[in-house]
Amino acid sequence: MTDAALLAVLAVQRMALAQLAGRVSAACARVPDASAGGPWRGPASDIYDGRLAEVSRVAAAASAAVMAAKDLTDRAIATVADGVG
Amino acid sequence: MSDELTISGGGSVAVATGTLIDHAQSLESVRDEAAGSARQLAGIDRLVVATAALPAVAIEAEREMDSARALLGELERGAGFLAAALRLSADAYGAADRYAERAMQQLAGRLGYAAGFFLPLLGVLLAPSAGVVIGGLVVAAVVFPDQRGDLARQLRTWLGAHTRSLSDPFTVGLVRMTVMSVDNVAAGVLRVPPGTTEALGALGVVTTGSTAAVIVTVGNQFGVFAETPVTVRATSTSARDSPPVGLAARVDRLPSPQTGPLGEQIIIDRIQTPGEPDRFEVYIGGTADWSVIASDEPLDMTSNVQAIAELPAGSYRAVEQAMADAGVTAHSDVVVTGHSQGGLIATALAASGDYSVRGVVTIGAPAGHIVVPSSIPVVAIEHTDDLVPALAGVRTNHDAILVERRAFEPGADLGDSPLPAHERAPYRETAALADRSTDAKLTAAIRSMSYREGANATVTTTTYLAERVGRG
Repeated sequence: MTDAALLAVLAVQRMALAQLAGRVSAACARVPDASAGGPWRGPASDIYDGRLAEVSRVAAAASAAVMAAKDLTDRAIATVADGVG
Repeated sequence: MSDELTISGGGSVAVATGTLIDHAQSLESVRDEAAGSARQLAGIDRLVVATAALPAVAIEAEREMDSARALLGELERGAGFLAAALRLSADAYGAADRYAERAMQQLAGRLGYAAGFFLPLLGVLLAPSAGVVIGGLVVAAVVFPDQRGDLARQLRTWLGAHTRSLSDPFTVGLVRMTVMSVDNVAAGVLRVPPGTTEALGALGVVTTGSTAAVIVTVGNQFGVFAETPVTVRATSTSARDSPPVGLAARVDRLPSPQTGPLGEQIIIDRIQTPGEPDRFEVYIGGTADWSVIASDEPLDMTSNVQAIAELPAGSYRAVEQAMADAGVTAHSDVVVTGHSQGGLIATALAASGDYSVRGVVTIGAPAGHIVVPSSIPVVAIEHTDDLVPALAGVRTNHDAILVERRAFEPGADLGDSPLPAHERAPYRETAALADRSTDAKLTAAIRSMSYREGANATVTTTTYLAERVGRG
């Protein structure tokens, strides 16, 4: 693959990742907020809140990984563009 | 007042608070989005093939994408598991509630039998059930024939003096159970072998309806709860801008027989859309006359007891006549909304199979014992501190979507009404809350009763006054 072709493919990848980052971020926002008062009270609430916090943590990590992939793609584009230049 | 709704029914045993279902739906949405995102990421990942010529930072980006895919998979599983657990919990709560309800019913029945067996007279006089209260009214009407007109006033006075205790959810639950055990009290009095009424109840022979039918039969011997012919006439016609949307809008359109200009009890909207058959919305008010002796008013106690007995009540026949006058045929799509006795009639119309009913909305209706075909969406709104729906006993129509809420918190100002939680205003608030609910079954039921937007529909509203005639 030529550098120009690689550059074009990376640009498409970057655009797709940016769009996906928005989608994953929106999914993160849909995870219910345990602090707003869940369906239960007492010990059951602690168990549920713990599970919910875990889902929240994974969602945030997935969102961060997609953002990191996008940022790294940005840097890859810059690197390849420097070589082409 | 609490904004917390409990939504149940709709053909499953799931019983849960709105919050429980809301969380499950949010997590299902997260699960679906995570699955979709993982598939999208897999497609993106195929764009660049890792080779030695790739810059290191691009390979690092590939690794981050692999990590993101793994995390999205974990998110899909975690959110899905939690959503499923919430749904299972909701079902378990429902099953537990149903089990407890059956146990309470059996206990109430056995206590009722014992009361009837050992204390025939005292048991009947002291039992705080609707059946016994109504039975007492029959006896009073016979013993004091000259004071029959005062009985309804005395009943209202008694209700007014006991507002707070009658508006307690515990009392409401007790009444619901006691209504179901009236037959057991009678069985005890008559020395019927223990368990017979339970067996007959299981076979559907002894029900709330059959108990009410016995009250009607006995009452008729003494001139109370006696039915009469009814007539209906249209009193006004007007145009509206649009058909109703949602539950609160339908509650807003209910007539108020006690405050209306002529006491009209029925309103019918005819919805005409070019190129489509006419559709109808029928609104029926609540009980307007509490006398056990039929007067001019068909929405009275006679109709209440007759309708609970699933007999052709005067109010039912009046609504049928008004519907015929408005042009409703057996094939017309119709949505029926009713308050209290109006809700009872609305449910009975849907159960009759005589009309093409697209939906039923009831507020504070004693209609839980009437089974409507599951193909007809029924939204029954009941306050846990409203005594009136409990007069139908334990709900047997489990296909109806039941929206429950406590209208007044303990210690709240209950105002002047003898049954404040039965009033239209708090039910209107509950209907508005239900309109905003995200419960899937409730929103589907509301949607199935709605009209196509932008259909250029015209709405003609006719109000009807029903009266009893031919009283002996």
